[in-house]
Amino acid sequence: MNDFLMRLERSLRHMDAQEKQDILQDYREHFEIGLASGKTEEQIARALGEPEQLAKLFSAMGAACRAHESRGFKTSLRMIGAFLSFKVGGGMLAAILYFVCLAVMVSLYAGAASVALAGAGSLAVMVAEIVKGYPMWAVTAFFAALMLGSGGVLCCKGLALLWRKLFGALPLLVKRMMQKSAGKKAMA
Amino acid sequence: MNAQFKKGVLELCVLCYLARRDAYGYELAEKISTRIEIAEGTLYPLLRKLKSEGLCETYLSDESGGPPRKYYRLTDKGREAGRRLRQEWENFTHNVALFMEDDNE
Repeated sequence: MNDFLMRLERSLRHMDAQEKQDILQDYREHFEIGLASGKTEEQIARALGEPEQLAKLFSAMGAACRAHESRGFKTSLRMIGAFLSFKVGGGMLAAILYFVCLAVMVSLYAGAASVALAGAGSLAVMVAEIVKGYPMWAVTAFFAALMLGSGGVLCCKGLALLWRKLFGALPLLVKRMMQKSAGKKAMA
Repeated sequence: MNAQFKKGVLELCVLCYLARRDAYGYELAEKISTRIEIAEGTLYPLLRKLKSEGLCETYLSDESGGPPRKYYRLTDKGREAGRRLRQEWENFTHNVALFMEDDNE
């Protein structure tokens, strides 16, 4: 493996193994044909450009494709990682956007969970009141448990939906920005 | 040449060339770089993007002799996209040319 391919492989380390091999194979073929037509490795590498810059182009495009295929929280996380490590312009902004969304979602979840937890607590109170022989208190606690429990669970369900929507839309939102700046950098 | 020009033009060149005949990566790089100064390596990310968007597909062939090479072939969608892009480009350059003529008056 020549210097160009080694540098390219190193720069693509965040990429999925199969995808990385595909990409490297394309450049390997390029070198083989070039060498066969009488060029030197240096000439070919010089015409190709900087492998680190090319890796950025692949990463931005790869992330964009993945955003189309599988949208979700894991994709989002992987995208943040890729963008940050490639120091593409806008990567920082995207990361901040993600983390703000993440923080908001986590606190909403915590709220919903504590409501549900209060429901579970009421259930415990109900059992205690039955044991102590206060049926009226037990009934009251039962209704409290019903309200709080179902409320909490419904909130969680709703939040799960919001979560999916949010982290489904964000990758697409950020995608264009990333592609643009990555492209600009590699071409410059 | 201006980097912004090249970025858009490279895609147009690839689509136009592939509309005439299937080609492998090296061939595209060589053909395009004889006329336009580009970092040839940027062709491969572009080809990958075109493929992921369904504008082209790849197959292996050894018709040129030697080890099999990866050929790129336009899909119908790619053909249509190329036509549209070319039309836009021609309108654009035509209007820019008219504008520059006005300037000489």
